[in-house]
Order: sequence, then structure tokens, then C-alpha cells
Amino acid sequence: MNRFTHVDATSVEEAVRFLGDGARIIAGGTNILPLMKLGVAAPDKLVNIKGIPGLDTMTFDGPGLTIGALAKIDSVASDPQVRRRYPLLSQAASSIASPQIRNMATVGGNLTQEPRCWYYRGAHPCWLKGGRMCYAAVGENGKHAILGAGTCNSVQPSDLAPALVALDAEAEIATPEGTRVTPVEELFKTPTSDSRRLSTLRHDELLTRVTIPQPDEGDAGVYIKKMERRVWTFASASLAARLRFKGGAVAESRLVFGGVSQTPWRLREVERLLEGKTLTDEVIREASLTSTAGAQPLKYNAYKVRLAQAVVSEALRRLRLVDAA
Amino acid sequence: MKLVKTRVEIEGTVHEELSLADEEPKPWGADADLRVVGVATAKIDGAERVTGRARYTSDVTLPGMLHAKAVRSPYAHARVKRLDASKALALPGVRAVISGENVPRVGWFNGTRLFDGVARFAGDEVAAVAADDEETAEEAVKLIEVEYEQLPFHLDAEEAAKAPPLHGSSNLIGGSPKTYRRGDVEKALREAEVVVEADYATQTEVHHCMETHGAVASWEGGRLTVWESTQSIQNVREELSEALGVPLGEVRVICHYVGGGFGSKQVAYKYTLIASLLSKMTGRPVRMLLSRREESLGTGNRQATTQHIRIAARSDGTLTAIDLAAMGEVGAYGEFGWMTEGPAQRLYACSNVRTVNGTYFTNLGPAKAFRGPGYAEGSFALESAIDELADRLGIDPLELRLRNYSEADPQTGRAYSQKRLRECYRRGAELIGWDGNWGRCVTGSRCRALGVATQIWGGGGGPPAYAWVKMSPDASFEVIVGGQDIGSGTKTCMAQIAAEELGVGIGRVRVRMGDTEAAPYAPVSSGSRTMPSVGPAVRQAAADARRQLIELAADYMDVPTDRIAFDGGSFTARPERSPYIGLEDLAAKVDELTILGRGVRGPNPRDVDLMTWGAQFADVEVDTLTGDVEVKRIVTVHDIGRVLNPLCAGGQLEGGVVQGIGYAFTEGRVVDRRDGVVLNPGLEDYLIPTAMDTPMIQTAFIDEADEAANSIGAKGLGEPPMIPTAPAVANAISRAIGVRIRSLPITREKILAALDEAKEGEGSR
Repeated sequence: MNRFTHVDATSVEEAVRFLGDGARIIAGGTNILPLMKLGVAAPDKLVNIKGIPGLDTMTFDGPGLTIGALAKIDSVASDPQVRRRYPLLSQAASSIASPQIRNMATVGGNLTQEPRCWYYRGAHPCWLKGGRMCYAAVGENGKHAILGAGTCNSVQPSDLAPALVALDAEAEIATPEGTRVTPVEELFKTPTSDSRRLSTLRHDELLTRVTIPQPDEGDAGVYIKKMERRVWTFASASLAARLRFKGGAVAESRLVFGGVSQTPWRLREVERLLEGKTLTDEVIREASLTSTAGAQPLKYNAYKVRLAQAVVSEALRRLRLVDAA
Repeated sequence: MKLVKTRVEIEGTVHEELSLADEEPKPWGADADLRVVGVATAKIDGAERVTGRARYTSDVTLPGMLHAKAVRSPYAHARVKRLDASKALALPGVRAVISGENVPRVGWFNGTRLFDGVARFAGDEVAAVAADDEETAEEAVKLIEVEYEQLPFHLDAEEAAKAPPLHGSSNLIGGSPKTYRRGDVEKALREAEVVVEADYATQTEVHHCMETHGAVASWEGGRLTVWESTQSIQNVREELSEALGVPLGEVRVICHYVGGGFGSKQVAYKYTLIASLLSKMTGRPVRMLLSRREESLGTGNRQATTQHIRIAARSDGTLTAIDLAAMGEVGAYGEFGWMTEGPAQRLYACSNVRTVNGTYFTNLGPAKAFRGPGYAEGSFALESAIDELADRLGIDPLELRLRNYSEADPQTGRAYSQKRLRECYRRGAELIGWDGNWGRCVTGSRCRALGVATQIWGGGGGPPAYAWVKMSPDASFEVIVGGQDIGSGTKTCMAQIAAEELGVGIGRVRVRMGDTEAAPYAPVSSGSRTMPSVGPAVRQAAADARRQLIELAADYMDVPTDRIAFDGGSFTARPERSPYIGLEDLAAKVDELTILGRGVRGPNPRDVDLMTWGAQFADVEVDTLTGDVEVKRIVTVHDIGRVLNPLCAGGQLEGGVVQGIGYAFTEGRVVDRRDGVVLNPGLEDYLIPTAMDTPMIQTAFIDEADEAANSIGAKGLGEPPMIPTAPAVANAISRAIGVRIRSLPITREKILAALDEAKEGEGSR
């Protein structure tokens, strides 16, 4: 590990002042510390935000649910109100890693974590780290992206990301110029050659809160995550699905894949397709097949196409039961 | 004491050796009235382990101790052209650097030397640093400049067959494949009523011991003491003595607790030599403990295999031929070819068998024995193929196995000392609910079924092994053995054996193990050999101590020894059962009374083969849409002779099944095929099973003393439970979904692909 300085921020404004090139944020430490030990990240300065008051709270009020960036994953997973009003968020949080990690890791860290691609985290000088090529493109790519990949083929590892996108959540971001608010969906991007990152946050910005609107009447949601083992690993494919039913038909929907693309992958075509429809087997089948339209599997990850389709079917079938109940 | 020739089988390989024979206690028969042995007894060192008081190698700290870290080759095969350590040596806190520039001549493997200028896999050590702390050592490692010349490399057995040799004259170990034949396989295949032919493959499985490999070395003058996390303090001692040219008596190896070995800790490693050499250079103790990533690269793994198998049979299911062509890959420093062909040669009564097994060196991390080495890999192929035959013939897979049951060892023709496999099948079938439909049940996309597979393994143990039992003046006993308890309950079982023989409570017996100093030789804890090898020696030593005590008591009471009964810690004279004296009283009468009983493991019985047996059943559900697999239940039933301690033995079975579940479903080293770099060197990407992946496991034993085997009637158990797990679940999956996965691990990807292929096949028909 490289030598670095460590500073404690006592307020959001102070944290933002400390940030900038060469500085990285530390909260739960479950993302940045392993990266530093692996030598993938070598910040000059770690800005500790754990001491900033008020950033670890969850509040329910008029606009909905506001979750501070320092809230622990476990706080979200085990909160009874979250479980009742936003079951898909509770399910997504519960599916993350292990109890130990859920007790350390924060919501902000989960959303801004770096890819788990073994070339990125290993010794290979991969493109995302500034190298010339994506090793996964022609290497061991069973875990990699089937949708929307650019030069880099890694996948977005966050489980909260698709869940929050499906819930139309907004992110509050502190910047040197003040506060800005953006849909959570826009926190993520496909890396480009002049910005080799999966996040749209600048180095001098701090994600402070996410806000989820009040659930609508008739809202039903589910998060389904398929892994290589039962727990404690990243998604091979996951889906956050939220449907608003009205009179037995789908009035509005949000379907977002995790684990198959570099960003939380919103299934806009499927959302349009479902609008006004009753979830018959035929509609579910069509939705499932449409969900992977445009997929470009690599040598070893073609199974993800079928898996992603299966996850869409499973989610819609389960939500159909919720509506029937 | 005399010398006799005896046969010993270890991990499927039989050898003859000269062993000591002394008068042995009469075996505890199946109906012996035992009070301590056979009783579920909590581990005598359990409290130390769970409270953190147990001192593992990683806990050893010595005054002035330095920390060592290695420079490892990033390339699969490379020559070190230039190495410059000057910047590292200039770093404050760095005490020494060892590399090809300054290393003494130390033989390592197959004619190679430590730091001989060639790195043979990505992760091979090319230099090492000793510094005041681990962080400084790590920083110094980065400051060592190494210029490499990359060499051609090969990563699998097929490439190895064509590539220039990494060692000696051939990449094929021994220069030619191991071949075995009995009968006429070709004729039997030609005349067969049915032939099943298929290709199977097994992956490289990494041991991933909870405690990583490591050593602390310290010299006092010409005397070397090494703390090593090992399955064999004696092997490490012998190897260090030989490699460093230090007399055996001047090397002491200590290991009181091991955080997992599974076969990977049977020998000294390069880090052991490096720590010893750096300690010599600096005059200070040196600790070299590997990181999890290093643990993944160079400390052993289970060989990857490919197996082409043909099985011929009559339509009634009688096997007429087994023909196996196997290949194994053991990395750059693998030791030898494991017995992948063992089950094919020995499990079933079949008069025509041919096996060919070629094992190859590759530019990968070294393979080491891994729980049931060879047999786990071989059983996956054989036991899967037997099920394929059952499907083809429409015979119940369990019935097919019973029809080919072997009453004598089909390889040697000798009788078994005891074989209760039929009872294992029967009991397991009852427990799992085996019926004509194999539990088959389809609910929507979820398909459920049962599967079975057989366990065959040695585990009879044998000489050499020694034990002492010492009584101290306070009339307490110590069992002294120069071996180690690797976590399986060895100490507890030895205390039980000694307490039983001495007729005292287990609380009166302590066990001293884990130190080569002042303790007699005991073997490596591998090959499921520890209890059947060391246990009888412990019993003999206890019997010797008992005999000496009876002599003293007889003398004291002034009656002939044959009238003395020693039981429950007191001596009585028969027939009137008086006079009477307690053991403690006797010890108090004789000033500082000390007794030493000595035991030796005698020869194995002639003319019979010692084997362990088992049957494992799996209840599995597969979702054909998602490829999700849920193992609902495993039933595993074994015949290991007498069960010394049902608690420890049950734990061994559960642990073996869990490791088998990992082998079957999630574990496997991933290597980039273009550069030979390991991509999952850590537990984030190398997926071992979690508690949530662990099914309900029901364990049972036939538990009948094998009186012919040895004086305690027990055989080994460490390896057996892992051997049949992968084929049992593979057979259940195949029965559930109608398609067979012929390679491990059984992943979602393979299940979905196999289902797709089957569907396409249907469509085109």
C-alpha cells in the first residue's frame, strides 16, 4: 500500500474542500481499502467522512424516504418501514455481501464502488486503469457485460443502483459550487476514453443523500439476484422491478438490470411494452425476450442472456401474484 | 522386538517396508466393553481453540523477529536477466534481501534450485526481503528491480505433451503414462451388449486453508527451530535438514495447531527455506506468512484432469470392461501423478480393466494432495459413467452397483479385512428415501431427484509410527507423539485410547503433540492414516505403562502380577479383590515415581487389504429456467471400522461434504489462457461454499470394529466423505433434468447450455 495522509472531515463543506485530485473518500472502507491493498488505487489523501453528523440517518416524510450516504447497508436492509414501503430496496440491500460487510459498508460507498472485474483488480494493465486494451474482451469473460459495453466490459456491481433507479430515486451531491440534485440513474455512465470511470461524480464531489419518492397506490416491487453461490457474491444477473397496477393492468413500470452492463440497465422497451397490459403468460414471455434485445455476449457469458430473460419472467410472475393478492 | 516386512497403502499407492513388531495388545473386538473409546467426547483442546488461546503459527512472535515477503514472477515462465536490490536495501528497516545473486546452493525440486533464475509459474518466488515489519517488507519488494526474459509456457496437459520439458527430459511425469491392465478390455468391448463412452473433466481446486501457509525460523548457533503450519513436523524437519545440510538432530519443528491443511501442508515450501536462510543471514528470527493471494498461487491445489472412459456391460448390468484414459496437470512443481485411475481399478468386480494415466508438468502453481487426491477426480468420472450405464440399461443405479459388488479386491485378488459397503448402501437408501422413482418430482420449471455415488479409499494406515505414554509423580499421564493434530480431533482420540487402556478417566490424560523435540516419530497427517497408524502405537504404549505399573503394584502388595487387576485407577489382587491400593497412593509411596510406556505401530495384517467404504446420496432440485441448483439434503454413510469418537467423526463427514459441495459447484482456479495469470487469487472471486450453500447433512456409520486391521479396530476418515459428493450431486442433477454435466464445477452456465443443447436436439429430430 502507498503512503497517504488521512484527514477527518467534520462537515460536508469541509469534506468537499479536502477532496480533489489524488484524494479519495473513506467511509465503511469496504471498497477503497481492498483497492489500495491491491495497488489499484493509490490516493495521496483519504478523506474520512464517517464523522460528519447527520449523514447516516434515514427519514420518512412528505417527499418520501431520504437515506444519508453514511447509512449502513444493514440499516436499509433491516428497517421495517423500508421493508414495508419499498420491499425491493430492502431485498436488494439484504442481498449484498455478508452481514459483516453490510454492517460496515455504506449506501454511498455501495453506489460509487468500482468494478469487480478481475482484470481491473488484478495486475493486468487494463484499459479502465489507463491501459491500452480490455483483457476481458478476449479473455476470461464469463462474468462480464452482455449489454451496452463500450471498450470496457466490466459490469456495475452495485445492488442498490438498479433498486434505486427502479424507485426513481434522486441523489443529492455536494460540490465546491454548492449542492446539485440528479436522478440516481445519472450517477452512472459507460466509461469513455477521456473519462475511464463508471461514475459521473467528479473527484471533488460528495454524494450526500438519496431520496426516494413516496410509493404510489398499487406499487409492487421485487429484487431478484442470481449469483454463482447462494450468498456473498456479486450478481451474475439481477433485476429490480417496480410495477404500478391499476385495475389488473400495468399502469407504469420500472425494470432495471444489474450485473449485465456497466450501468444499471433500464429496460425502457419492456416498460413501454408492459404499459396498459395485463400480465398474461404471453406478455411475460414477450417482455422476457425483449429484455435482452441488442445483447452482445462475449465468448463465455452467453448464458447471461438466458439468465437475464429468466429473471424478468420470474420477477413479473411474482409481481402478478402480488397484484392478485 | 523384531523386524518384519509389511504392505502399506497411502493415497492409493502401495509400498512394502520393513517395520518393527512388538507384542501387540489383543484387538478390541466388536463386542468389547469399552467405556471411553467410542463415546462422543468433546475435543480436549476445544476450549483453547474457540477462546483464541490456541497458538497457531501465525500467532508466533519472537523478540527481534523480522518479516519476510517474496518477489514473485508476474510471468508464467521467465528467466531472470537482471535483479537489482540496491533500492530495497537502502530502504530503512530492510535487513536482508535474498535472491539468485546471493543464495547458497539449495536443491528444490527435480534438479531445480531455490532462486535458480527461472520462474516456472506466475507467482513463483524470485527473491525475498526481510524487514522490521511486514509493510516495510512489502514496500521493499516493490523496489526490487527485476528484468525478465519471457519464455514459452504451457498451461494444460495436452499442450504440455508437445512443449519442451520444464524438468528433466519430459513434461510427462515418469516419462510415460502409468498403465494398468487385467483381462482383455478390447475383446470385452467388442463383445459387449452395451457400451457407455464419455469424456469427463475436473477443475483445479485450491485448498484455501483458513490459516495461510507460513513459517517462523530462528537459529541459535547451528541449531534451527522452525514453527510451521504443517501436516507433518517430521517431513518439514527432514526436508530442512537435507536442503540446508543441517543434521536432523539440530532441526526442531513445532506446530501445535493448524488452521486447515487438506493435503497442502505435508511438506516444506520455498517460504520455509527462505525464512530459514534469511534468519541465518540476519541472525534474527524471521517470519514468513503468506497472504491470501499468495496462498492461492503457490501452496498447492488439486490436479485438473480429463478422463475418457468406456464401460462395457451385459444387458443385465454385469460389467465386462472398464477402460479409462486420464490426463492430469500438476503445475511446475507437482510431486507425482495421483491415482485418478484408482476407483476404476478397484471399486467394481470387473475382470477386464485397463487404465492409462499421464500426469504433466505445466507453467502453473504446484498441485499437492487434496483430500482424496486422485480418487475424488476419478470417482466423479467413474460414478457418473456407472449412472449413465444404469440409464442406458434402465436399471436402478443402486441395483447396478450392487450387481457389481466386489467381495474381494479386484486388483489384488486378496480378501478385505472387512467390507460393509452393502450395509452403507442399505442404510443410506433408507435415510434418503430411495425408491423406484428416485424421488423424481417436477413442479413447473423445478425438477427434483435423488442421486447416489460410492466412496472407496484406503485409510488402513501402517508403520512407521511410535508413541510414548508417561506417568508423572502425580499419577497423571501424558501421551507423547511426534506428530500433529490438524484439527480432526487426533489429540482427543489418542487421549481416549490411552484412558481406555489404562482404565482411568480421560481427565487424567494429556496429549503432547506438535514438537519434534523429545517425542517419538509419527507420520504426516495425510492419507487418512493418523488414527490407524498412531492409535495402535498409543494403545501399545499405554499397555506398556500399565504393565509396568502392575508389576510395581504386585511387588508392593507382595502378590504375583497375574493376580493384580488394575481398573478405575486402583489395583486389587484377585480373587478376593484385596489388598487394595489406589494409583495415586502407589505413586505417593514411591518417591517421584515416573513411568514411560513405549509403543510402536506393528505391521499390517498379511493377505488382506484394508479399505474404507461409503455411500453418499444427494437430494437435489434444479430450476431449468435459471439453472439454479439447490442441494436439499446429503446422506452419507461410511464403514471405517470402529468409530473412536462419534462427535469428531461426524464433524469429519460434515466438513468433507461441504468441501465436496464446493468442488461440485463453485470452486475452481481461473487462469487467463493467454498469459497463465491466476484471475481469482482470493476469496472474493474463488467461491468456497458458505453456510447458506450447505445442505442438510445426515451422517451415519456402520461402526463395526475391524479386528483384522489393527489393535484398535479403527481405520481413517479424513478423506472419505469428500470423494463421492460431486458424483452424487451430478447423478441427482442428471436424473432431475435429463441432461448430464460431465465437467466440474457444475455451473449455471453449463446447466443452461446443456439444457439448450438437449432442446435443440429435440427440435431437430
